[in-house]
Amino acid sequence: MSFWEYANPVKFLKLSGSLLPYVSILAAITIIAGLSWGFFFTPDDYKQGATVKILYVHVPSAFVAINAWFMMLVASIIWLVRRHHVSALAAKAAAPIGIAMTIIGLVTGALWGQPMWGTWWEWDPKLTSFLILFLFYLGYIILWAAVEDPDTAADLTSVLCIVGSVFAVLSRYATNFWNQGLHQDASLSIDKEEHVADVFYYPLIVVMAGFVLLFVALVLLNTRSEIMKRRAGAIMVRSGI
Amino acid sequence: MPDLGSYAFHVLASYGATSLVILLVIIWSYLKHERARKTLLSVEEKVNEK
Repeated sequence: MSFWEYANPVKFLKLSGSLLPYVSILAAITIIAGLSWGFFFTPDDYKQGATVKILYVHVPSAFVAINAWFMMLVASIIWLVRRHHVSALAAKAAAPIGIAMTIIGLVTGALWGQPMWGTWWEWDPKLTSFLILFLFYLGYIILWAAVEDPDTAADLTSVLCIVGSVFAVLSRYATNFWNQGLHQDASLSIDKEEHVADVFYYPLIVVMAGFVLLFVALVLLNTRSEIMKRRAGAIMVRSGI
Repeated sequence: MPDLGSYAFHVLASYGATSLVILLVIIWSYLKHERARKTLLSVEEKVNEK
C-alpha cells in the first residue's frame, strides 16, 4: 500500500476517523502527566527560581509553532508538485493550530521575560523572527479566506508558506546565527552538554510529545472538516441544490 | 501547590493563558467539525431524496 493512497479524501476520512480518538486520548494523558510532573515535582532553578516552570508551556508551544510551519511547507510543496487536494487542505487545517501555538509562545515568553530580563519584549533576533512568523501565519489564514477559488488560494498560500519558511528557520536558529540578544540558546539540543539539566529535561520531553500529539489530533480533525465542507459544496453544485 | 514566591503571577498566568488558548482551539475545531459533518449529511440526504 502506497502512502499516496491517503491523498484520496475517502481513505483519509476513514483512516483519520479511526486514529483520532487514540491520538486525542494519548495527547490529553501526556500533556496532563508532563505538566503535572513539571509543575509539582521539579525544583526551582538556582538562577531563575520558580519561573523555570514556564519552560514546560513556552518551549513546547514554540516548538510546535515553528514545526507546524514546516509541516505546512511539506504539504504545500506536495500540493504544488502533485496537486493532491488533501495536502493543501492539511496545510490550511494546520495554520490555526500553528497561530494559536505562536500566541502561546509569545505570551508565555513575555511573562517569562519580564521577571528575568526586566522587560516584556525586546527586539532581539529570535523574538523578532518569531513575531514575523506570527504575522506570516496571520497572512496565510487571511489569504485562504480572501481568495474565492480554492485551487488559486492553495497555490498562493503555498508560495507564501515557502517564503515564510525563512522566518521559521530564523525563529529556531536565530541564537546560532547572531550571537546577540537576550534570548538564551536552545533548551534542547542533540548535543547533551547544550540542553537543560535532566531534572527539567525529562518532563519537558513528555509535555513536548503531548503538544505534538495534540497538534496531530487537531490537524486531523480540521482536515476532516475541510474535506467534508468541500465535499458538501461539490455535491450541491453537481446536483443543483 | 509549590511555593512560587514573587513569581506566582508570571507562572500562573503562563499556565492560565496556555490552557485558555488550547481550550479555545479545541472547542473551535470540534464545533467546526460538527458543522461540516452535519452539512455534509443533510446535503447527502437531500440528494438521496431527489
